[in-house]
Amino acid sequence: MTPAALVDDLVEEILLRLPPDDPAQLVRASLVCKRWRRLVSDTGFRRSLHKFHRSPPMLGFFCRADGHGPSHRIRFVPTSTSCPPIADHRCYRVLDSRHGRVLLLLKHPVHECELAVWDPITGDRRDLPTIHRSANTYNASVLCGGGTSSCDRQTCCHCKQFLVVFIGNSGSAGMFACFYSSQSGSWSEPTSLQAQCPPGCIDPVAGVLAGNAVYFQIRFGSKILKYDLGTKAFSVIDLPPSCYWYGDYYNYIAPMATKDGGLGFVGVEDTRLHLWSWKTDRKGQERWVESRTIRLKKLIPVDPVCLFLMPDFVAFADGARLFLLVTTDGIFSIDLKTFKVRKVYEDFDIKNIVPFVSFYTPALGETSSGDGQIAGA
Amino acid sequence: MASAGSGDEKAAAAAMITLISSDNEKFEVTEATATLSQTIRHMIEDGCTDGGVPLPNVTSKILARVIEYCKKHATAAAGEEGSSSSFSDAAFLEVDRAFLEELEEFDDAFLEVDRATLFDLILAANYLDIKGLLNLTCQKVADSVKGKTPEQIREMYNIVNDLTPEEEAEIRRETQWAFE
Repeated sequence: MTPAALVDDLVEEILLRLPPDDPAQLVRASLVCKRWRRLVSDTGFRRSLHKFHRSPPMLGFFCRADGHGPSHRIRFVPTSTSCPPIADHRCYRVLDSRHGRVLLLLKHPVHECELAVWDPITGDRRDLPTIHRSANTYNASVLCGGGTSSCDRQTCCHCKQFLVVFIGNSGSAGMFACFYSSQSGSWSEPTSLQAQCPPGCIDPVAGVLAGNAVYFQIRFGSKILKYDLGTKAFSVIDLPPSCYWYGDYYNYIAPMATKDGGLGFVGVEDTRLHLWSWKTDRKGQERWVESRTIRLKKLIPVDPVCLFLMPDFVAFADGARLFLLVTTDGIFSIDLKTFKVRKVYEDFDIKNIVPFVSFYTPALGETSSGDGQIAGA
Repeated sequence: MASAGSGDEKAAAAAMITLISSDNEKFEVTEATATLSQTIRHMIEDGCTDGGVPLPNVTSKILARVIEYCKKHATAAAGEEGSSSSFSDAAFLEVDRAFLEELEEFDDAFLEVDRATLFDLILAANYLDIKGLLNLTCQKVADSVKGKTPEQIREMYNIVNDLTPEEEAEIRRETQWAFE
């Protein structure tokens, strides 16, 4: 019987199909021979993973490990079958995470804002220049720098460049926004948002990337603030009149990305999740359409009393299209692709939850080349 | 529209294509079966199938298996088209589900082959550009690797370990979490 040697492309086809939520499998495969190691460490393999699996897995989530003490720490809670170890990190809070990058707010922004972008897998951290403005409520998103042929903002393959969009409310001076580009290494001049957005309390839940824009929730007044990455302009989208934050209808609202990459939001009414999407109708008018209702009681087998949800209770991972929902019975993940529900944490004593969504591929060390062959026995 | 469509399907089903394996064996298949292969589909579109399609990279043994797969899945594709254009009441859904289960059983049984055949099927699926078959066979190999140690994988697939003991020890040290 002749051994059937497979070309690199076909070995890659096989290795792509190892479960991405169990990255230990890929690490073990990478130790088979130099060729396999080279294949899975290549940036092209990461691109292929995105193409094949579409959405990366949630490896776990970050949360605040301690209360309001002088030494704030964030903790990583793994939720996938296997995950590389991520040590506690000293910072005030995690603001956002996308494409394997984590955006940290280093200190409570009393007089100025200090942020850093951290890769928890490699440990690399880039501290951004200080923003010399105070903010009593704030939010920020980290995005792929985009602009290369192999990398777009939805499916970043671990390119070097990134963008950070920061919005803050400095009280009497009103709302302001600025953005940082890793290419220029500096922040833009803060611009006032008064013209676009009435003063509001900026919701701390991570911003959402949908299409070519990033969206933040403004808590009072039921507004969503849109930052268009193409035009670099802010604008405001009103939520439907019935959807007030702590209002008539919903207990809580969080923006999300819809299946087709558009803007949506989730509203919670008692034990029901209502999913809305921002659609263009036949007349070309944009409006909100309620697309789905999820009865939590059917999905999560707990006493409805335990479904009491806290202000910080929901986190949407736009890359993986899933929610983390904090109940008094623990934390559940709800996958919007399959509507599968899984308990990922037993307690609810944690705050400031930000999902960490990323493909993990082994890094290439000294062992760079080789031609180990896969062969039919 | 619907009747014209099904007429075309019948005409397509009636057209036969001859596939010639590397060892010169001839296989008569319907166009619907053959066009699961994008490679052959393009040949048909370009009108290069008169006198048979020579497939110098595929033996008769493997081609017979590939055709078996394509026949089954071509029927499945036709069935899906039919059911989506007709009304989808519970009875039809039931039939669909039964058919999908049957297809899954077929795929499972189809993959009960030795490793050499499995790799030949991967090569043939790649050469003939049959997405479903490539997915099925590659997934089978990936599943066989799951949960195995590097040593077990090497042994299963006759792979020579060309990492030095020092390199291997270093990688293991760096990624200890994956071996716990």
